[in-house]
Amino acid sequence: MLEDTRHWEAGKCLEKLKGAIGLSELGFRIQGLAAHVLLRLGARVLQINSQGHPDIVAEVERGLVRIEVEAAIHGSRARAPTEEDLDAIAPHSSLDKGYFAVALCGPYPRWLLVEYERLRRRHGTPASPAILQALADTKASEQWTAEYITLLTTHCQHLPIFSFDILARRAKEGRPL
Amino acid sequence: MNGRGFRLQQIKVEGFKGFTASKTIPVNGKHVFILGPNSYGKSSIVEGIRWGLFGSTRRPGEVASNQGYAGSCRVELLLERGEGEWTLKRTLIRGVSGGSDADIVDKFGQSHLLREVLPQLESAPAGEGAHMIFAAQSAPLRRLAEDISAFERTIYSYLGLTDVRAAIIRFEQFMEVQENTERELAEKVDEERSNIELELSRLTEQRRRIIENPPWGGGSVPTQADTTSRIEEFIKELSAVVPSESIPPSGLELGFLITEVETLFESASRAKTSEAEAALRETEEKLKQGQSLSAELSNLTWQIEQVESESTSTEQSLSRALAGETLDTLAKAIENVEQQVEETALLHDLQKKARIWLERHLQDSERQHCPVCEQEPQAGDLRGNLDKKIEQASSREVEIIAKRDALRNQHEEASRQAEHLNELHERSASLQQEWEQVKGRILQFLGPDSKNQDTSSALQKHINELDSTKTILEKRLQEATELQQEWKRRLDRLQEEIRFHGIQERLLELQKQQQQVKRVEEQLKALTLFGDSVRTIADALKAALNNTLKSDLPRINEKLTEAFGTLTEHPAYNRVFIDESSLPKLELRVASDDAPLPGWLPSQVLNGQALNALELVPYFAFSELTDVPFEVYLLLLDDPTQSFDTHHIDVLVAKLAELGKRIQLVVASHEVDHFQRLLPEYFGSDEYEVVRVTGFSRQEGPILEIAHVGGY
Repeated sequence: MLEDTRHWEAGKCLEKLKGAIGLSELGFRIQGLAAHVLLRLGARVLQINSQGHPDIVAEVERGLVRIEVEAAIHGSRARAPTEEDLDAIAPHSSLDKGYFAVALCGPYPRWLLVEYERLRRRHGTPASPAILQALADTKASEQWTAEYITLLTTHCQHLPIFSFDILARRAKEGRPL
Repeated sequence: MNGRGFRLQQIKVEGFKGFTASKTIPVNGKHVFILGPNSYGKSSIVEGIRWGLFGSTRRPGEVASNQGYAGSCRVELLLERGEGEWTLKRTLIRGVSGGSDADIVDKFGQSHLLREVLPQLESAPAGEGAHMIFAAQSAPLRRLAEDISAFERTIYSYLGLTDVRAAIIRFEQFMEVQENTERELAEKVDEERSNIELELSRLTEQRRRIIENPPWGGGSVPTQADTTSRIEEFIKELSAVVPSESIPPSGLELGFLITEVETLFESASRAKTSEAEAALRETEEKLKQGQSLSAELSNLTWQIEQVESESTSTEQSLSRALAGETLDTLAKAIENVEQQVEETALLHDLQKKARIWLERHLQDSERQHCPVCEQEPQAGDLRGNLDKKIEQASSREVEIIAKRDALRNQHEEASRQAEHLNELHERSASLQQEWEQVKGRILQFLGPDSKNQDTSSALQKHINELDSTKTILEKRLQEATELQQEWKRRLDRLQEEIRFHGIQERLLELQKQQQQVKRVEEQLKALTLFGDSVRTIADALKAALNNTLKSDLPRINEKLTEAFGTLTEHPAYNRVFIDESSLPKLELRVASDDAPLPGWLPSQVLNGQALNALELVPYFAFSELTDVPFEVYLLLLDDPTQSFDTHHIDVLVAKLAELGKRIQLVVASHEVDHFQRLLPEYFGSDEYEVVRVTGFSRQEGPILEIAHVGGY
């Protein structure tokens, strides 16, 4: 069990990326990486918005998934999606899904994907990482985390050169990293 | 009158507010009108009833007891609802701000818990309930006129939504607790997870570094048994150089074992190097001593040789200086020559004197007889002879002086050389003496076997031997040091290996802790899911409640408008309604027929009299909505006619009479004349009691005059 240090190595890669590009850029890169996580999970990325809402729109099976991405860099600060965030990820049909995807950027990076419905019921009450984890879709969060770890460790050396534009363009073109 | 609610039969007050000794006010289940001028203690009676029921004063922190009265502070209320009398006793706990003990006793004298007999009252804050109203004077606790949230119970009861509202309140309370619990649990989980991950990351880094440069020298990661085995091997090696009692017993735990090995290593290192170090030190010391003696001897020998050489040279110089003479003969020769010098000098002197005399007494032409020989010399001859003699004497003198000086120089040189030679001899003797001493020390240094050997050679031989010994010892010490360093490296590697095992163990512990945190996270997940379900139910209930309220509001608003119209006959605002946009919060708005919506906040548009009337409106409107919304069937009104004109006092008393058909009234007013005039008009004589407050003194408290109007 101790031999598997990939998760930890992913953390080191993310730390290096943070050191190389700075905090202000990191949020965009994580958004771009989220799009590539989606690609790896078989989704077709339709939109990645550096500004405006939602952050990512992708096609999964027959429905659309709308995602607001947030990079949680500063520990256990409580966070809450705004009304705008929530409206942006609201499903438009029964086949659609909406996620508030929080990337926890600690030594063991992971994704927490909270469905729109769970957030809406809480009326915007700020939630700490543990609460978000409790609200999160466990399976989706684990899938995202697994692909994310692979992405980070596989491309550890080259992560800094994958700018948001490159990540976004390749994701929209369906070209995985 | 309906008999389901409790009715007040008697009030007994002691030490409360302005009251001193116990005073009893019989009520007999009737309405009570407490009339008298302001500041005579009317409010103390109304407050006493309220304190007796709720146990709190109007103003938070206000002192309930009469500070000038030494007795206890208590209120006893005799209550009845057709099943015998109950006595509610409330006593102030001295020393505790506002705290009181309440006890309710049945007709058999049996004590009961207040919450069992009066559950609504126990849970209600003072002031809640359609049938509890307090003084308009008590500004600090007054709600804004538009806020009728105190009537929620009545309205919901009227609409048959009491349980829904109660459920929503309970859900809201539950959600507050739930959210606090979630937050507290989440804070702990976040903190715990963060701490674990940070330590896990730090230890993983350390573990990686150890594996990159493994102290076990490569291959697979060792088990603790492998490390133990390596330590035991090491112990065996160390045991070869340390006393057996220092060897640790087998079967020790790794941490303890390594500590023992550290001690053993120290002992073995000391044992291995200290002997060689001591021997080397001793040899070095001896070598140093031998080299010092050798140097001393060489120096002395050289000095002796130098002195001897110089002596030979000086002897030759002396011999040359003496030139076959001795110092004594030279001295005698000098003495002789000096005598000759004196004689010559004397002769010379005489000749010179003779010449002078001759010059003085003989002229050239004159002849003189020699006074001695009587001869008659020729002056010229004499002069010539004398000059010749003087010249000869002078030459002779020069010659003798030269000889004398030569002899003197020779003597002086010879003396100096002789003296120097003497000194050299003395020096030589001294050096020889020193040499002998050094030789003695060398012999002592070399030991008894060396007596017959040449000192210098023996010493040099010994020094050479010591030097060889030193080299050997240095090599041995070097070897011991190298071994010690090798041991140290092995010890360091073993310590690092043990640290590695420690890290492994801690990592496993942290992983277990992570699992525990995950279990808590799962519980938190279940908790939030449950919370969301409750929230969904509460939201659905609220929506349903709001919808029902909205559909029923027209009826309620009609009642409110009617009561307001009767009480105020307001010329501009003739409509009162509950603001839909604030639901489920109940807030009143006033409007007029020509401008029905959105209405105005009453406090912004109504005058004092209308505002006071508006405060009473819900009591009148809602008292008709339901029979018994509260278990104590009582309306307390303290000075409800403030700012009212005569006409409106009349209207109010008329409305109170209507209300009094369902509810027991306790009304305090300073409008003595008006009430005395109006009460018989609107109430039957057997329906009420009048308590006149005719004075007040600090010793006696309010002075009461109870006028029994009639039996109930």
